[in-house]
Amino acid sequence: MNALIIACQMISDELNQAISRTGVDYPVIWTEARLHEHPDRLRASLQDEISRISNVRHIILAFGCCGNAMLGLKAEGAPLIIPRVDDCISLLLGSQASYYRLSSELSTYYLTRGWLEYENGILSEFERNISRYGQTRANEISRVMLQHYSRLILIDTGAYSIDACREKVQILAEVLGINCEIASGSGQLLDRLLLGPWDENFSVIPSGGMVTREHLWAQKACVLKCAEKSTSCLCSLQQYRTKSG
Amino acid sequence: METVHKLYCEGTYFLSDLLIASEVFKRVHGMVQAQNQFFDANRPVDVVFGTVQRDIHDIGKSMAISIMQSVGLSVVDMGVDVSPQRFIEMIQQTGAPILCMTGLLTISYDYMKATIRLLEESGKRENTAVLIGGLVNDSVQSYVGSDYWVHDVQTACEICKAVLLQKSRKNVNIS
Repeated sequence: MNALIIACQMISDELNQAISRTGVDYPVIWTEARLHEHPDRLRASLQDEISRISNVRHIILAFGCCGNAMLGLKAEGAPLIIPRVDDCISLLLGSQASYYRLSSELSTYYLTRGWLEYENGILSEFERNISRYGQTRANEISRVMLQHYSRLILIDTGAYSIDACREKVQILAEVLGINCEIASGSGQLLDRLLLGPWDENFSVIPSGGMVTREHLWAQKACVLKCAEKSTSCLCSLQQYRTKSG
Repeated sequence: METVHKLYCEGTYFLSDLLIASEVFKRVHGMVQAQNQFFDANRPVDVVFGTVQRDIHDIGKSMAISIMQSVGLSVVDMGVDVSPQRFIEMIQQTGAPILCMTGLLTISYDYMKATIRLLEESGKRENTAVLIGGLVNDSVQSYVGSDYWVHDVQTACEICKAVLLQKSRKNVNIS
């Protein structure tokens, strides 16, 4: 077997799309989306999976830094390939630079269908809060939890229907009293994760090695400089309706 | 709050449950403080606490500050997205012997590091104990150059008490 992928359920739409697009036939082990809130548990779960894999040339980890969950992972049976991105938002936007640029414009909460739908996604938690605390208090909780965010961005990764998510995102935006915009995603980083070349945007940890901070924390000054030069492609939820409708 | 934290770590509680518990705690603490005739609003600041630049996560910080205040520490909450300059200005202004910084984004490490560098340049590093919290560990601590890293507020309180005692603020009533 050439390679094996371990990935977070949260980006399953996009990764499955990248697998179809690139034509790779690597199997995928999915980890629970909820683990991203508990980096130590995520690390333990990943190490457990890695330790039980043999007879592959590479193990591809489709994750961001995920609260340092990758830090300390040991490459046992095969080299590990890790994207040098802070979190999976960069993977969905196509680059760390795009993520920094959008985030530096306004404090932004990013969404995809995965973030809306999976257990412990923002919407699931909101619905749980309504049943546990009632509508009014659930609204208050959401506003306090996300009080410092100035906008929502739904990333149009092309891997799911924006129209199917529109209403849910609009409800959330209204509760929070902030705007929602749509940003074009890009699968280029995911494609390169699957196919290579694994350039400075990726770290390759050889067999017997361990993931260190140097493998993960990108050279921020360089990335920020690139981010300043890039341009955005944003539109509002209403504009998007006109475009698509 | 210890039980609430445990339930969250186990996955029984969600973030919103932490938030509710924190609000209840804050309100009760406010009531206790209002009844406490020994509470001195003009006492010197022990801790300057904020979420670093480019990061706006503050649920953990707010909870930590409430608990620190409840054990008698005098804490200034700097809010979120706090630049290194603002942290240093507050340290200089208040003379606080402890700086607590938190952040959940990976980029927050660079701003923790920049703040500590500026603290050194201002000549205040030697007299200021620096704690970091959030998604931190040994590796982050050695990268940013802090004195301590913590994952729980109880440990943070213990460290702050030890630092204050070491700095001879023994008259402070810390439970």
